[in-house]
Amino acid sequence: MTGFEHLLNGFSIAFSPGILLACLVGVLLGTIVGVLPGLGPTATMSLMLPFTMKYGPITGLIMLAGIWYGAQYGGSTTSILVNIPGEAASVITCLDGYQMGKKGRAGAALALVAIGSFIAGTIGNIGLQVFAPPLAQAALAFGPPEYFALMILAFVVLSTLTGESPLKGYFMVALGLWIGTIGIDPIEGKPRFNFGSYNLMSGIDFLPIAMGLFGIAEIFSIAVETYLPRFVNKIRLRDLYPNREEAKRSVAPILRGSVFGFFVGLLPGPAPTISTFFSYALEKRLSKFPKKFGTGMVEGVVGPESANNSAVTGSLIPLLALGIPFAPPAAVLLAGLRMHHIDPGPFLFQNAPQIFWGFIASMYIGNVMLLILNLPLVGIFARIATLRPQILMPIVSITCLAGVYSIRNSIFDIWVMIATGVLGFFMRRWGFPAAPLVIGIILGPMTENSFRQTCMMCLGDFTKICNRPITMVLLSAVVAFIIFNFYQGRKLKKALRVEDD
Amino acid sequence: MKRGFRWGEFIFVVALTLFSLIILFMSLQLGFGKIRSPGAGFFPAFISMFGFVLGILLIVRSFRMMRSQELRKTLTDRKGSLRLMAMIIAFCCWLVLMPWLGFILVTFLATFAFAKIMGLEGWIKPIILAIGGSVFIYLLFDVWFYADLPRGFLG
Repeated sequence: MTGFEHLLNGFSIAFSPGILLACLVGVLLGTIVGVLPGLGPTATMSLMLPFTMKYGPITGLIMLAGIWYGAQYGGSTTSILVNIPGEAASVITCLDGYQMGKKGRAGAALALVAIGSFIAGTIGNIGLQVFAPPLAQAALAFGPPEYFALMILAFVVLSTLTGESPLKGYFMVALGLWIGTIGIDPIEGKPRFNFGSYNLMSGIDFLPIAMGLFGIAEIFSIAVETYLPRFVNKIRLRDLYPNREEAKRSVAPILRGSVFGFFVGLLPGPAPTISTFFSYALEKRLSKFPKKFGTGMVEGVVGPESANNSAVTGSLIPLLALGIPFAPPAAVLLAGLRMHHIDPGPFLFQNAPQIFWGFIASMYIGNVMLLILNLPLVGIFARIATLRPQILMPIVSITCLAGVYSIRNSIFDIWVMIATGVLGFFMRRWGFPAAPLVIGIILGPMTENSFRQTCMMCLGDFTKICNRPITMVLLSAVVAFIIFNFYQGRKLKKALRVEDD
Repeated sequence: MKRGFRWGEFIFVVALTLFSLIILFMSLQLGFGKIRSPGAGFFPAFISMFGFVLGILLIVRSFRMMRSQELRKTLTDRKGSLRLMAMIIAFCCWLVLMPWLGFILVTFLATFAFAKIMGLEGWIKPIILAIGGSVFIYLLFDVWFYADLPRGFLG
């Protein structure tokens, strides 16, 4: 079967009523979550994970991914209307988006962002469709040393790009990898770190930890803060028309943001957020009026918002082609697929092509749904932002509790969720990033297996790794990244010292 | 964001560093094996050693901050801390009481408690929210997903 035939087959799957409904629920929830400051896509995806168990893996994957990319659409709404980003990836949109709103161009900004996000999502899909199968094919040549080196690279980049200090990020990776070793040793069959508890014999389930770190920790953070009511101006349909100049000025930033964001998405870490900062800097550099940025330049709104959408699609490539998630939402997707006994990676394309192509097709449909939803219903979504946490958070709390219990009927899992929620709350306060911890937990068993298999293959002689070019390239990239980051850090410290003086 | 020394963070790092040391000893007891045939404790020993070194570095950095910079403001205000404590207790109560009272009644009580802790004013609104929350959880998990949640004495 050719790629086109596969895609047509995917559309035949994606157009079934159940899948269409899952896609609609996913993108709708994603948009709502994107609009609401606080509750992010990772927490919502974790919350929805138990519900996907009732349906097949493809339905679950489509719904969860819909939440992720839908959140990127919704995040800009509150940035433009109330200067509060619904999502970390929409922080930069506040700079020019809110200024456009103050000039009475909020409707135009929202419409252009929706169109830009649609174009970016579509370009990202094409990229996913083009790059993922060959990468998966190439990954068939990967052995344990290559996988181990790739995971080390992912951990180093992820730890450096998240949180306030790389040291804290590495510390969290180590903690995550250790949690991943709890349970029975896969080679010798020995129980490890169960501290005499029967519940720990099979390891700690990923879902309570993800819900705790991203959901419960967020509820605690909201609980300690004082609530300030938000006021959102009404947006009418006729306000959504951009003028000719705004539309003309948006074309190039949308295309640049889409392509650029897609490639940033391939990097480990909070790719959607990073892509927006890079895209904003790029647009400012390319603009004839860089000093006007921050005063309501449409390029500073549509470029980053397009970039974050295509970055999400780019982030799916390492997950689907290599089976390695580079971001927490991708880790939740991986957990969801594993719950259905599906292992993404090179063999996914051979053993279950319908999952990959059905998923691609549903993303095209999901993007159209988002465009249709976001243009006429933007006023309603903006009103959702005014929903008080006193009403929303109790419902989210009890859904977390019942959701985690319903998976394995385990009281122990709820204890784990509450404990990690408390841990996650303090980690946020003290600048320890949760993403490396989560990725460490989910990749822990895979990292250990590849590490031990590499040791066995090399028979104690690690110079044998030098004969493996892919491993060498990946390990060189790790070293180069650490050195680059070290010098960048010193440069920054020096600059700060000069500024202080 | 201005960096500064925080006692809570310092204690957290020290605790994790000591924990890494404990894990290192436990890993060695599990059996390190040889490099050509690693044992069950081989990988955990490596990561705990790595964690221990990182912990020491973070402790040293904290000491430097303690000497050079002022104390950073603590966690949150008193009201916020009390709300946090109350939320944690409410979560634990749901967990402890659920097998005895059943999930419907406990969900009602927990939703009411969560709403009051988070500052939903009056009695009518929290009660309506608690009834709505319990019905929502019942319909979602019991009716739709056939989840086996304990019903307690109501069951």
